[in-house]
Amino acid sequence: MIELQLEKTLVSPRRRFHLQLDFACSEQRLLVYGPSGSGKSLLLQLLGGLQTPDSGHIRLAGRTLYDAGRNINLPARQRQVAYLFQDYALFPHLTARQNIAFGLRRGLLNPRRNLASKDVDLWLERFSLQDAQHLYPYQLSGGQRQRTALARALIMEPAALLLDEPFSALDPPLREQMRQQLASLQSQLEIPMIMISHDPCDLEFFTAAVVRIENGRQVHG
Amino acid sequence: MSSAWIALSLSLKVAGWATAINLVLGVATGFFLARTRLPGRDLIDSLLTLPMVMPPTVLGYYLLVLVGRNSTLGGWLHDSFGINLIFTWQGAVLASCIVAFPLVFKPARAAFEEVSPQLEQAGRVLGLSELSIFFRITLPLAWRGILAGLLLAFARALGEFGATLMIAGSIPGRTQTLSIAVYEAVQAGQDSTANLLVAITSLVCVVVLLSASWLSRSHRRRQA
Repeated sequence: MIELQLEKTLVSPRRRFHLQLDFACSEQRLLVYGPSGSGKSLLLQLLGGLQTPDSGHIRLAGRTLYDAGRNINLPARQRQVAYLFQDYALFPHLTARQNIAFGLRRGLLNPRRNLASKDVDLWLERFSLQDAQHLYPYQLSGGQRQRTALARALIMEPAALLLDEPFSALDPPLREQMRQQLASLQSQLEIPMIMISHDPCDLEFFTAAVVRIENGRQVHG
Repeated sequence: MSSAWIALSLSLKVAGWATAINLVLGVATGFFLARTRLPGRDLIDSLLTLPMVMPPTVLGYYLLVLVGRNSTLGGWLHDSFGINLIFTWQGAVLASCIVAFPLVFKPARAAFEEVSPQLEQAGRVLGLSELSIFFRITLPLAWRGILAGLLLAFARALGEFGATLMIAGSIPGRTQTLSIAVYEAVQAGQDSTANLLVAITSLVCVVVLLSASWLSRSHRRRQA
């Protein structure tokens, strides 16, 4: 499902961080586990095309996204990789329905509030968001926000789904509920998923291959 | 009586053009300054803010030197395009434009800096081009802040006196804007004309300021 070998050095005035990873995973679910500051968010950004590695290659779901040797570096918009941001990054000026329809529409104009789309209707129904479709993000509950963000990402029929600490923005009771929802979703969805987390509960909950990283390196055990 | 309306319509024309030009230049400058990592960006910001603190007459004098017929730029404009900015309403537009420019680009820069880069990244991974991201995410989120600045700039351009007088003069019906007409009426002892002009100016300014504060208030509410 994923095969990568990469290096990336980040230099800021206060610290210098070096990420060096080399692993492959054939399973459809991968959990990258490590403490905060270990480089797992950076890894996700490198996969999504939001950052560029210094060297190496990235192959995900059968496609080469990056290969320094062959001068390949697909920009984020061509990677067909869905990204669930930690705090969801919903567009605050658009309703839930417009948010979900966002990527379907090219060009310079946002989808209209009452845009007719069977795809959007389908995802609203799947995630029980019909009643909330005309609300703005600040009017949605935490769970509705996460489902809207997921629907917005999945409606694009991505080749893979990247999840950035999907539960850390939620209160503990809701966290448990969302974990179950996402677990049932992952059995319905066929697409490969890569999740990063620093929460040991996620280790127990998700049936997935696990890669542990610490301080920019893979650790075993 | 009718001369007051001529002055008002001239003022609105000058302020309208100045605001329209500032909409394009000010928003572009604000966006550039918000996004660039150029080391000199704060110096550029300060230099562009100068028109706000410099006496308008000094600014007008600079403009005279810069675009007057005997200057390089002014001579080139006249010889190549037949454009003459001295003693014309277009000259008044130029003066208003420069004086009001900081009121547009500064709030625009602040508004663009407030837009979370993560929202733009979300647009990127959803497959949008950079141009689409600007028009569908960045600009709508910064828009109200920009609009409030534009209204202030419009009010400032409407009240512009010193630089305009220096470069465009005070030709009734051609370059005599509302604020200059007030001065002329008082000088000539025409109290009733002055009263009318002052009342009109005050009314327009109050309307513009109320709209600006209403816009920035609803802007804050939405961000919350």
